[in-house]
Amino acid sequence: MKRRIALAALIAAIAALPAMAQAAAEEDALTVYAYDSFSGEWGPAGDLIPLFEEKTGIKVNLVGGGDAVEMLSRIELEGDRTEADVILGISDDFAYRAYPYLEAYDSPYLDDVPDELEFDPEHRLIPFDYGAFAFVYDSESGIRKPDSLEDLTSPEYEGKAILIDPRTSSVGLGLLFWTYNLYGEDFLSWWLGMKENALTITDGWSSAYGLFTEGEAPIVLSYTTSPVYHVMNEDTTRYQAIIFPEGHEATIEGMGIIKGTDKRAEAEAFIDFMLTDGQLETAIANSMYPVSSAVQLPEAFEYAPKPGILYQSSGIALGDRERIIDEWTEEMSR
Amino acid sequence: MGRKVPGSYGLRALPAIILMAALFLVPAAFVFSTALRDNAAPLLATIRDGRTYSVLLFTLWQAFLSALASTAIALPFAAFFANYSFPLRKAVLALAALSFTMPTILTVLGFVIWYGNNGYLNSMLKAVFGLAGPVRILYSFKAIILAHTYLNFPIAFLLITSAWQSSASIEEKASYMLGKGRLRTFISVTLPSIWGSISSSFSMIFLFCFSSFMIVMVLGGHPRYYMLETEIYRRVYIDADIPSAAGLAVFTSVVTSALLALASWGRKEKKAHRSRRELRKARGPALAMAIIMVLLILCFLLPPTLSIIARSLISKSGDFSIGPWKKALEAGSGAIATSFAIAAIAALLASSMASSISLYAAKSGSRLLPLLSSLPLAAGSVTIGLGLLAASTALDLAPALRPLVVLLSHTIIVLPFSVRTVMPGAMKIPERLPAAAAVLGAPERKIISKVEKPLLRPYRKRAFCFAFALSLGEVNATMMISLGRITTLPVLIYDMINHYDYQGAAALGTVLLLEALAVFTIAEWGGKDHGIS
Repeated sequence: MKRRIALAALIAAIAALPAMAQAAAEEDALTVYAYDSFSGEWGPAGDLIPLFEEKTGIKVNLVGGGDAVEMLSRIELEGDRTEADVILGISDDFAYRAYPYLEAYDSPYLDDVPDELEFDPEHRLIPFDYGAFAFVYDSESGIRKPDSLEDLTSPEYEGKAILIDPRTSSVGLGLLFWTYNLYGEDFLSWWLGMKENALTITDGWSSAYGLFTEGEAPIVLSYTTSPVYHVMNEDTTRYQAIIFPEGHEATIEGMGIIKGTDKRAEAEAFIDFMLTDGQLETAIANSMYPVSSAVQLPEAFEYAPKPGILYQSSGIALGDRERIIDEWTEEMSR
Repeated sequence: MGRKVPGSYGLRALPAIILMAALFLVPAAFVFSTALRDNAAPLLATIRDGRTYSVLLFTLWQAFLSALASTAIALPFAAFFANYSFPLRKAVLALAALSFTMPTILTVLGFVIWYGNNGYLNSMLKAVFGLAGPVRILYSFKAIILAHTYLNFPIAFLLITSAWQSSASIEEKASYMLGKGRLRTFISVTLPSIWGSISSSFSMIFLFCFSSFMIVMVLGGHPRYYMLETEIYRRVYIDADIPSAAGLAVFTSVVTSALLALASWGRKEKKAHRSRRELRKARGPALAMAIIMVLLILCFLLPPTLSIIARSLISKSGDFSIGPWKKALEAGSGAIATSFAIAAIAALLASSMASSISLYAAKSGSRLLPLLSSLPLAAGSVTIGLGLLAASTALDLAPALRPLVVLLSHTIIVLPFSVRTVMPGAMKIPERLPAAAAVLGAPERKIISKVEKPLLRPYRKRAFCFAFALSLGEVNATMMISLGRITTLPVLIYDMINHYDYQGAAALGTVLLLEALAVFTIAEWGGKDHGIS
């Protein structure tokens, strides 16, 4: 009897398998490799891709490729055989890895993008959204709001901050570069000052922000846009991003056309679409700012204050990156 | 090795071996060839780097302590559960395997909600004892061991209980009659018959903790607590330096495989007797003991899990709300079915592969085969993910085949657990049983299906449950292979968290638990176990 039940379950399960695979790729579609934030369940792709197809008549074969590094590895491994025509979701800190596989495109819509966001002057990678790392704090926790990055190291914040490890997270790496851009070779003294103030240094943003919302500590490393979620979904302004006068580290996300594509025109149309109709929805879904200054943001973004000064990690030389991480590891592991 | 084994055992194990080879060796070959390119430069760089060894030392120490704590704590509980029957006994056994169904992020959150400075436990302590500040439980080395014990204690508890229960008590009784004390009887009689399950669960837990990483970083709370697996991850995802990651991955796999080989070397299994242990009804002091044991296990295993369920119902402002449940279920209906289907098939495949592999290995005395089947675990999930990515790219899979590859890779990932769960059972089958059946004229096919397989059933059931739970919680391989086309529950949970919806993620985590609980309950109550008789 049991055997028969097991068999029936197996057959039912196998029968359900094909339903899991979505429609196979169409032959002459434009293939877009996109990171999960775009193609995932909550990503903007679900609305934007049909809109693009309807507007242009170009079919899109969207391939979710994990995060930036996974997509890059895929492109590298596939080499000339790659089906990709467009890649979307490479942040500026990995840009150097993508350049050899891309061809430049001077989209007319780049006119609406402020120069300081165009991290690649050759336009192989074209920015579509950006964010700024920031400390978010719980205004109902009773702590004094820190007024600068330096202020965070003051003893009153002992055990009050949740940081993220630069060895395992791009957000953590963002903070490390932020301190390097700000303090230069002296960056480690800020970190030494934070040793007692950090409750823990987590592996990634998800666990850090989870600990923060559970009330483990009133300060967390995140983005300037983080409060928007709480305003829109929980109707509270309790969690606030703090703008520091010293400036903030930016993260800019880009897209590009794969070298040697036979769908250059379609690829250009897609890039143009992302710089216009795709801007707002992508920004909201990713909790980022749109790059185009032509876009009007919804009210909730009032709670996502834009920093006055932005630093870029693409300015840090490759050799320095590795050295900075090594020095950080050496000092912080003690 | 070297014993003559009837051909059909090998034949039955063959598909499992081929599948194992194809699915594990192909990705592994990619990782190896990358590590060995340019005259093995990436591998040599890792070997020459002094930092490799300090990270290795911490990794080994942490995994050793975690495995030791989990197994040592499990032993007295297993002893009791294998000898007495009492109310709730089966319920506890079914509940025990739940803990590792959860994706790690939810385990960490459950831990923080319960043990955290601002957690329920501290609130209770504060209310009862009027303490000024929180009792700091997390963010220390001890917290890492605590969390690993929470996650892995059930493995040791369930495996040792199974083995103990199916080892006969006749010899123990004889030993008592000969005037040997309890301790001497335990060491000379009982221990040898359950040793396989102890060492099997110890090595599994060791490997599990060897590649643990979010728990070590978040709950350890200090950059000093850094694992080899984390370093491989860093080289892939932060440095984007795949050759050097492959170098370290190969180094790590060699270390873990050597340890595995060491653990399986010199293991001698005692063949069981014909009678299975009869459970005694707990009465008087034994019943009191039973109540204490059940309470201890429940107090240890339930609170972090219940915290997640509570979190799914209570919003951050402290209100009870089921809004996120509605949203999560709407978004997750497809994923719930997908996860269930994948986990069910992978677990069925893995547990039957495990039993044919185990039977063959037990017959032939092969130590190599169980070792080989443990390699996916020894290699670690980042390494497998890396290899799978490369392999699926190289093979240029048709999109329609991807669900199949996801399914098969789940099977490979859960196979080590299944083999390690079934193997102690296969080793226990007394040789004279199939021999007797053969003398009575039973064909080999029949011996396997009527004599040996039924004897393995309790082990297979356990293996199925483990495999189901593990597959249900699997994230990495799914994301890597399916290219975002197959959304399982854990994938969706991570997706929701990335969009700040922790409550919705907790709701889906609860759904995962319910799916697993349903399957465990059926497995624990359904069907009659045949003892090794």
